[in-house]
Amino acid sequence: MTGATDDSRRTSIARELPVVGERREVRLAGIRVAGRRRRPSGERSSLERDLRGAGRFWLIGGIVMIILWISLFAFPASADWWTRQDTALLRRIVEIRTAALTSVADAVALLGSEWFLRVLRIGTLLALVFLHRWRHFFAVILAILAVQASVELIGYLIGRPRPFVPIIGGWEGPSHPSQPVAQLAVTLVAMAYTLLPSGRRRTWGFAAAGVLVGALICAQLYLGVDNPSDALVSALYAPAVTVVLFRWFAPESAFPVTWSRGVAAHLDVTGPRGDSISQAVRDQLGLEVLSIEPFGLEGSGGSTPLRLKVAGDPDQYVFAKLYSSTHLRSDRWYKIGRTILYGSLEDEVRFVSVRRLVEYEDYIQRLMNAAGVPSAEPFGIVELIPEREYLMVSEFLEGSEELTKAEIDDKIIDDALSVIRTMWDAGLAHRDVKPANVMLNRGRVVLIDVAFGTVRPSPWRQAVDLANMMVILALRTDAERVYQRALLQFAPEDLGEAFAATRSVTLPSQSRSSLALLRKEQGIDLVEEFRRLAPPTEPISIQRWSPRRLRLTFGALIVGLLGIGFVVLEFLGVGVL
Amino acid sequence: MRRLALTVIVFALATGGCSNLGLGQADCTSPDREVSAANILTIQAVPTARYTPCIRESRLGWDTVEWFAEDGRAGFKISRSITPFLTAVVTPACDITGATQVASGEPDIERFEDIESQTPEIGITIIPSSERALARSRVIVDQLDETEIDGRPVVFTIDEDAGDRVRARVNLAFLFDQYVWIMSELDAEEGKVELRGKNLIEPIRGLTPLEALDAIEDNVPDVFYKGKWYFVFDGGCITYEFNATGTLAETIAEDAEEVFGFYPARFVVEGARDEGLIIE
Repeated sequence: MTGATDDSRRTSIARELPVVGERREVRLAGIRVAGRRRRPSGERSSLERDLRGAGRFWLIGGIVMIILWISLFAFPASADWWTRQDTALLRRIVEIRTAALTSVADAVALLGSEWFLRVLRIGTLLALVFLHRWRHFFAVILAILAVQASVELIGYLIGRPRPFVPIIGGWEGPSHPSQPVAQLAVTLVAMAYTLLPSGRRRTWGFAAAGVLVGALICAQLYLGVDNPSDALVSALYAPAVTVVLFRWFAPESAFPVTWSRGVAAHLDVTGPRGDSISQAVRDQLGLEVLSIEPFGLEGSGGSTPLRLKVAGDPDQYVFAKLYSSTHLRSDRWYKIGRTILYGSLEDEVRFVSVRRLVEYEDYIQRLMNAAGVPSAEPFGIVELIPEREYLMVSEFLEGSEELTKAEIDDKIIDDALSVIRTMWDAGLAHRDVKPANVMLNRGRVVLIDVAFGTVRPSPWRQAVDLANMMVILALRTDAERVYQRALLQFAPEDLGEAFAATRSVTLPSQSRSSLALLRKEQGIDLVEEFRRLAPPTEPISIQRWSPRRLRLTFGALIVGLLGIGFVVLEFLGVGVL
Repeated sequence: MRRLALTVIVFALATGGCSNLGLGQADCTSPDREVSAANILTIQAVPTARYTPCIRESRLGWDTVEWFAEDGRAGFKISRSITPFLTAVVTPACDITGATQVASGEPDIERFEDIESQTPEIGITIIPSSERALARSRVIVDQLDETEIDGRPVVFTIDEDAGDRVRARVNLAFLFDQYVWIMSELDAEEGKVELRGKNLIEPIRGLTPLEALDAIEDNVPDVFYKGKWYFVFDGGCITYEFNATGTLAETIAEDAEEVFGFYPARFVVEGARDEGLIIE
């Protein structure tokens, strides 16, 4: 990235954006602003979609299943009718039984056998572990447990006897719904959802699953172990539950399946979402989007960062961060993890909605700007799906580079430390001062990614921000030099406090790895050097115990033990898979 | 769509009572041969069996926790305070190796038992080694008559067969799960005994009878009733597998005799046919 616009330009964009009306078309800082459009009441937001394809199919399947259930068990007359139809069909099948067909049916029935399903399920889970697809891993377990438990419960609640024809196959429990058909269906659908990329491959996967489930149904009916209505309900029920669970717990939009190893938690911005972003940015900010591309994904886990090319003279880039409920959940888990590991060092209260999350980040960004902390100019929030998906658009710091990759002189050191000083004076903290977030833009130090910023932070947090900035600066220079420059803006006691508060956990992982590399290659321990330079200060404890931390830790232990128990039971062959 | 789904579910629940849903119980006493799904599934699991296990009457605290049926076996488990203590299962045949035949009370059913149990009674055999000790033993038995340990009666036996060696007499007593008090001439003089028991690591010498009873109280095994009853009949076998301890074990055999019965499989078939469940 290189330096973007100068201060006057940024201010002019921010000032002019709110007054650009629908019929106007102006150019601001070279960016063509075509005018905005208010979404009238009742009109859907651009990304909300009707159910399509598979969703509609399974919805209809679910309704058919419920009607079938009611007619099967709610009214004696219809139940009797179904029993007669089931029995009549099975009797016709019984008439065609031959030794050869029975052998085939016995073989096909193995599709629903316990060992075959275990092989499929454990194989799928191992593949997901190998691919680091934890969300899908848990989605598979959840789907299997949900279908297994519900089918078993329904079976015992209904208590339907087996068909009244000679039964020549193995069976277990009540007849309705068919356990083997449900188990095979949930397994195959879950496999298609987690192992096959969306599109043609997955469609073929579903088709193959349909064929296998159909074959198992035929075998079950031939052997006389299931009524046709039992098998039909299972063939509808299990996939419907699986589809709903996957759409809720691991939606394709948030957890796309690819055949490459690694985490793919960022949202896909091609296709409908890309179109929606273009339309929403045009409607709500009046900017004509020419292209959308992911930007700096490796440095961001809490959002999907994007670079948007917008029409102008010449065309320019703006920066955008896409937030969805997936990111909201990540934020919650991150905070729970921090609370368990370190206690409540500071505000770890979770956001209740994506809207609140982006509102907070937008507020902090504007506050930083107003306080004189050099950071990107916010252009506004764009709504993609109300309450669920938002885009934060801001200035793109074109041509910027990480401070740790730039040549650093005393002026830059002073500038960087003055950023911390400004935040201290304004009662703010960034809370994520790491190399990737401290940029050099046209000779000036700029802070980016202020999402974790906070107002009126604890003195401990302010001290940690200072220590982290000094570490970044010393990575490119040396501790003595940075310390001496810091004394121009901070008291020696401040510097002592900063490194008394520093622990491994207070250092961002990027800084930690750079420090480890320096220690390994040159034998230099920067933190220790700073501690030696600063006045002796008692280490500041970072562990805070609270009832919430105890509860969360206890809960995590229970979940962990259950997980271990689950694995052990699976190895012992008495698990649920 | 949500309203539609909700309406359908409410409607289904509201009308659910119109139909015979659920497994029901394997009840021996259905006067009009009203059959439950559990009955039908049981005869489907073992079509050859002439009888299926059923429950004549309920017992306070006995719960049917798990009913099961699969091709070749069907039955149910009975629990108390969540813990299953009895499993009833019907199979086409059963292995009665090692079991002892007892009277079944039914003309067409044979009964076998293979049970290991600890009765509530605590048996103590006194082995006196001299005439004086024998006389002293009799006094002790008279004094401790109707003694109880934790509410369990203590029954004394004096081994007067002085001809055998002490070790052989002790082993014989152990065979019958008895504690042993050995009383020597000196012990008789001092009014003391030597306590031995199967579950005692080593003999304890020089105890007064009351001290010996205290020592037994600390070591006495729980009452238990474990093992199987087999009821073998034409085309099948019903097995009751017991695993009861504590107070439950004291009465379980007696209770099981009263609670469980045999439901003729043909009644199930006829009942199912009458209810239109079996389509001719």
